[in-house]
Amino acid sequence: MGRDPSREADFVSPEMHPILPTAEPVLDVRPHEGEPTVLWRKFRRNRPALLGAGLLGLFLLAALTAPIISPADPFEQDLYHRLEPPSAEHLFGTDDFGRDILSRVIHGARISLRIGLAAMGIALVLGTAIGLAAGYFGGALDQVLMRLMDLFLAFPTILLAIGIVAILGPGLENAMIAVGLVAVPTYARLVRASTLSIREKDYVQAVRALGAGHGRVICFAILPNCMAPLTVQATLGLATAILDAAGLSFLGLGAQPPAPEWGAMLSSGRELILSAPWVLTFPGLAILLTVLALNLMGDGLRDTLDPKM
Amino acid sequence: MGWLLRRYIAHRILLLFPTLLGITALVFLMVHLVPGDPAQVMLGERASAKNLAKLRSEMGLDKPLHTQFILYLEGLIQGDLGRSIKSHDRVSSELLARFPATLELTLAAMLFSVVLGIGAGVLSAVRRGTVLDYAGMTASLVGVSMPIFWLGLVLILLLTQWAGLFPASGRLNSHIYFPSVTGLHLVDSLLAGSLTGFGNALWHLFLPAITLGTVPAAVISRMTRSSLLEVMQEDYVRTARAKGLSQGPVVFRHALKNAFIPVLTVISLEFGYLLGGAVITESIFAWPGVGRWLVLAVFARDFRAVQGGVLLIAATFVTINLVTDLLYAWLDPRISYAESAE
Repeated sequence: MGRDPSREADFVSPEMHPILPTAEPVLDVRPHEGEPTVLWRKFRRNRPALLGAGLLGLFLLAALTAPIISPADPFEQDLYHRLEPPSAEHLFGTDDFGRDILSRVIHGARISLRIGLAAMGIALVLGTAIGLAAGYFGGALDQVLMRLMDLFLAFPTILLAIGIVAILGPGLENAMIAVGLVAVPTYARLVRASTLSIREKDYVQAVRALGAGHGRVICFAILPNCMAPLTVQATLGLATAILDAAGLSFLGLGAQPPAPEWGAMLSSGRELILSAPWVLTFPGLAILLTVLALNLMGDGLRDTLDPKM
Repeated sequence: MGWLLRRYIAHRILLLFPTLLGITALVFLMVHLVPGDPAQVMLGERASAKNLAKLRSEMGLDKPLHTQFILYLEGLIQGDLGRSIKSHDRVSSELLARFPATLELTLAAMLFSVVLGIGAGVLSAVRRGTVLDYAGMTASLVGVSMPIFWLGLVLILLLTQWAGLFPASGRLNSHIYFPSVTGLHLVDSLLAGSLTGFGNALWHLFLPAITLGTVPAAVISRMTRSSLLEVMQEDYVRTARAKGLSQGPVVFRHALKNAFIPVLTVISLEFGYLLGGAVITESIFAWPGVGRWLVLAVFARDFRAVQGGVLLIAATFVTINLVTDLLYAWLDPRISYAESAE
């Protein structure tokens, strides 16, 4: 009977052999904090986070299927049915132009989520690029970039956003850009801090020793390890972006009427607070619930992905 | 006071100047990117080319950008922020007239949020895992997610319209008068010995301050709870308990002081939120402060006014951060000043 080669391999495996060095996974540039399935199981146990995810899912669904599920056209005016309180026909009532508020709130989910995602995207991309550059290259570049970020942080965010809208002019797209730009420093600082600690790790040195260029090291060794804190920050950042954008619209600096944006709906319904409170109740609740859902999810993700944060 | 601490304080105060210079430059550049000609805005569409050129040269708009910036800085040092393009009034005097209203609102909101936030946070931590804790934490989660422009409107509906308890706008009833010294109505009324005035000012301040203070209160209570829970795990707290101290002294004499340090950081950061949120709150309650004025200036494309307003609020925020940093150093002797001074 010949020797079983697989058994022989077992016999000399480094774990079993006291003299052979234990195998360090030098080439695995992503040390696992946890397998996705494990993380999902952890997230699933977090009831509030799950509630947040469900709520957000509902709003996303509403946004995606708005033209199908809306009972009426959000722009269609019906002057014979102005300011009707909630009824079977109009579940959320009608506004001062007789428009169906439920349909406007559903279409508003589209605008608010889009504006929030776009603003968050701007902040995420710019902030990550600045943070990676500052943290990885260090030196004068780091000093210049971070002092510039500190300067931005010296302004209350909504104030800076108002300043940027003052330059670009009021409007939905400009509000989106403003809300995105003011959040850049938060992401930049976060990514820089992560980069600084990851840069010196053995596996990054190893990748570098293997001859990888800066771009490769940043994209394949450093960036993947910034993902956990970035995911948490992006979720919470989306909540802030939606709130700030709605705030700008409320001030008249963001979305303009007749767009069914939640902040703009509150702004144009302000005078009706005493006579027709439902005009203000539902858009406000929609903002509150969306932001709440994202905050619940963000907290849950933080507990799951990064218990140190 | 050790020399290290003194050096740290001097360093932090000196650092204020480059920061202020930086924000001034940033605001100046931002405002100069505004499309459109300020001289045209001031004189109207039908102004003659000659008059436009004259005004441009008067305002220094025909000079290169860096010269304009140096001129602006020179004016700034003398307290001159230029004239409003729309009203032609001095921006500095307009701001000075409105700033006390914003400051009073911000400070009142801060007081509200600190008292409520720390109170709720301590209660939640001490009664951890009880219904009280869950209720407090749920409330603070909703508070953190609250759009304040909506909260303000809801409060007006509930407390003004339905309950008839508070006024929905303004700072003072028109028939009440006391001389203005600081511009802060609560202080001025007391200086004049007018209790009616004080009560009336407080009554007007109530809704705006609650509206503005709700989100910071929620943030502070979450931070207080988690910080206190962490400190309660420490050895010295266990020792205090082992000595036989009851819950009250353990929390208030031993734990709270150390738990307060991260809370102070959050409070200082929330000041930025308050100064920004004041812009929205003032717009809801027709509060005659810098914020509402600033929004109107943006609509009017009055760039000098926007410049002045943004600069004033940012400078206030930077100064508050400095004060908190110094308080921090005083509260926590463990901070290494030598390192922080780098």
